[in-house]
Amino acid sequence: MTGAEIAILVVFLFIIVAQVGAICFLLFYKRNKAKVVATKASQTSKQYKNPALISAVKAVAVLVCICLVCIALLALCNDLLYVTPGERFKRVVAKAYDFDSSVEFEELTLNNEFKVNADYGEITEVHKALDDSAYVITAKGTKGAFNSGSVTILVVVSNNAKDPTILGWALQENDKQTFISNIPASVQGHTAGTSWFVGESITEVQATVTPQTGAGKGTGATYSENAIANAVNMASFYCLNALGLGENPEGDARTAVMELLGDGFDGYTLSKVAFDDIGYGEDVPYASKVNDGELTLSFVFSANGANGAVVAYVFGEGEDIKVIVTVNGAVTATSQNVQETDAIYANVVAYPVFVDTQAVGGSNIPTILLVENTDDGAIYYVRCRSTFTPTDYQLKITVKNQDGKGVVEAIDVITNGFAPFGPAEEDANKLLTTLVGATSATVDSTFESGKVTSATESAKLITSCVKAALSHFDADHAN
Amino acid sequence: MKLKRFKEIALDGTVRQNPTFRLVLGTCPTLALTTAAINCLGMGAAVIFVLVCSNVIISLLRNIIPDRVRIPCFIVIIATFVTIVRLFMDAFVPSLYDALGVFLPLIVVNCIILGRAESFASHNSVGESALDGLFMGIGFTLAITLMGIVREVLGKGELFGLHLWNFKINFFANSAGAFLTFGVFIALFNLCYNAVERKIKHKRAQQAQALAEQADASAEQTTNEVKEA
Amino acid sequence: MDIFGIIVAALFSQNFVLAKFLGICPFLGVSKKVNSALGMGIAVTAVMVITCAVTYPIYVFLLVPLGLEYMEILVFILVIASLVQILEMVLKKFSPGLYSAMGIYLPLVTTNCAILGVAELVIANVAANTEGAFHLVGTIMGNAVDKWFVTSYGGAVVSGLFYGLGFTLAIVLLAGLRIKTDKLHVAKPLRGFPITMITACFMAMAFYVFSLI
Repeated sequence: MTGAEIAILVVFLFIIVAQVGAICFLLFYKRNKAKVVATKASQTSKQYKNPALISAVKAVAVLVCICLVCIALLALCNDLLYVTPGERFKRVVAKAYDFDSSVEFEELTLNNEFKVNADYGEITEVHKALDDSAYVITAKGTKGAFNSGSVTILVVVSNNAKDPTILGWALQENDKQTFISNIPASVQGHTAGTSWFVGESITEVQATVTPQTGAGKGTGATYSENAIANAVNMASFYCLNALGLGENPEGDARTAVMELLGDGFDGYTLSKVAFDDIGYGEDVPYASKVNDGELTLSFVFSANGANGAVVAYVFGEGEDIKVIVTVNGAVTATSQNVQETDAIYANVVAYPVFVDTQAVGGSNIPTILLVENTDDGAIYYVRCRSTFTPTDYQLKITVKNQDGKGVVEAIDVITNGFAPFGPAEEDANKLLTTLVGATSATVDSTFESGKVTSATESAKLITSCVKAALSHFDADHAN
Repeated sequence: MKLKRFKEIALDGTVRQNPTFRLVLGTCPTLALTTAAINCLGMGAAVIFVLVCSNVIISLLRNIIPDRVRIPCFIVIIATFVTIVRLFMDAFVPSLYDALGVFLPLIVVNCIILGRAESFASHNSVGESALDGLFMGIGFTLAITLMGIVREVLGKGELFGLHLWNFKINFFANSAGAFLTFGVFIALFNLCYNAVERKIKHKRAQQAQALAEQADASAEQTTNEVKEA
Repeated sequence: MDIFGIIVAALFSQNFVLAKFLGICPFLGVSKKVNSALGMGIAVTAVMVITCAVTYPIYVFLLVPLGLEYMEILVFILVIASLVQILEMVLKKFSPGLYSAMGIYLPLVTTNCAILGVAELVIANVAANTEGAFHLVGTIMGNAVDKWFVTSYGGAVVSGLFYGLGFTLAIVLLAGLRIKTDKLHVAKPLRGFPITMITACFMAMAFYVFSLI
């Protein structure tokens, strides 16, 4: 819009506004002052028929004139002093990083898939410096306490495909952060040494700053720090996934698994299984561990949903990863570079990891460590860990074949995860005896009747182990 | 203009009718912006500009503006200058613009400006109005900058943004500290002002007494002389 | 923004007088008696609600589409002044009792920075939330009360109401305290404004605690 157009609009608008105001004054003062004005006017100029009206019109005219002059002046000033949005953006960016003044920015459209993350927050804007040196990401970090307030910051990330680092950051806005003033200007910006996060690789930030602990910088504004850390993480999450910066093996692996699963599993969310939880690296021979060699297990993901429990194994690194996906313990899909004769395939078939939803927080993941086939059944060594305090159970479960279905014959404890509090150990491990004779059909009802109050977690771990052994046995003997 | 009138306006603006400490006008920015002395200077500059300009314009138009639309006219003129200051600050000193925040547009409803327009500029000549605006503005700036320095040094251990020491009392940077500092400042100012005024009165009285005695003496002398003669 | 958050923030932690320092002049000037403080508080609350309700659409539908954001101060102050005049006239005509109770405070409210301040704050929210116009349309179309509260137009009006009530709370409390402090024998230089300021200081400390929640 040009200055002239603006001026015309302004004049138009203000005639209206001024008239409204003037009419109000006129009405209001008419009653009070009409007499005074009338007598005054009649003394000075008797020829006017309605002196009150004349004087009112004069007052309105003066007010309108003053308004018009002021508006013209303002329109002129605005034309001279107008700050463009681009300039305004540069000003904010200048707090975070010293760009050359000639560098311009281009706003990128947001990738809807990655712009929101439940743990961290959301991305509101992404700009790219047109000299290709960096991205400027406006990220909102959540979990700033008080009514779930948030902090919005600018993060400048170098445009380096291999190892992008954080160049600088600055606070832009905050919502309900009472102690935000505790975070001084010196920790923002791009000064090495004093500014937080500066020089850190974005993959490093992902690993070291977790939403639970915050940045741990000790300014006294713990929640605001937390929100800032979340915002930085959000920015690096977006860089890794949407902008394709940096190496992101986990992201690649997830994408490969989701592709293999196909359409029916759209609603599934893959969660990463910690190797500790499935006994990787222990001396006990482990299901999907490959001993001969070059291939190592990189990730195990699990997910649950309407189509059954999914466990996905990802071997190797980079472009040549091999993926095996199991649903309810049976292999359903593999990536093209996996042969049925491969050692990893055989291992996954023989000793799959199970996902059991019977857990206090998230899923229990029992692992079948070893299977010894006997004449009338099999002996399973199963391990199950929990994030809560009974931590680790390893059980030896003897399963007897009864018309192609497994029946528990005996349960022995190898490693006892019972933590010494609450009920006595015999009570906590009551299921070890009540589960004898259970089949995969009756395991759940036995759990309901055989568990002991305040030893629920122990009961769940034991049941998960037994369930894993029984379902493996049933799957093994089905054909 | 006579020097005496100049002195009178200058003294009125800065001390005798100091808008912050004596008249207690424009309290909102005084309380809110005194956490940092540099903000006070910025606010003071903005207020001086608006005050001088609006005083001049209102004084020029004082015979044209009808009495009944006086207040809306004043407000429109003041709002225009405030907007100009705002645009100017946004364009050239963005950091100050951010620091002053909502209190920059609120200069429009600062009682000092409308008060001076109403009570001084609409009755006096252009030159006097400009001077009055200038010195009222200076009085305001001095007062809030003084408070700003005290609160910044105590509350943040800094002076005009320069780090002095690590000792700081957060209380003075908070809202409660603003009220306390302001109250104490008014009390101290009144104390000094009253003391000085009493002294001046005393001095004047003494002078008057001395003059009277002198007059008496000379009168006596003349009578004596007359007698002798 | 949820309604409870607005209420707590507007009444206590973001109290207009004691935390934001807006509307200090009437806070100090009209707090000698509880009755007059209450009248002033109600007048401010009423004008604040009207201001929020009117300036929001003016800004969103008139100034922003025309690119005239820089005129906001001029437009707002004129609109507020006119509104206060109209309100005064209406009160005088239809409710003389109410007019005699709070009418005399209305002209004072026009040049009160709390009013222009609330308009500016509402606008700041609009600027941060650019879909404001669509929210308003949704508000008019949908009748649900909860929708009214969560949309930003409803939020603006509600926050105006509760900022006003926060102001009323603070000024009435101060008036109550001043009745006591005025009877005390205070050192001469502290009489009047200084002791009121110090009283307000203690109130601000008490209200500050709410911001720590």
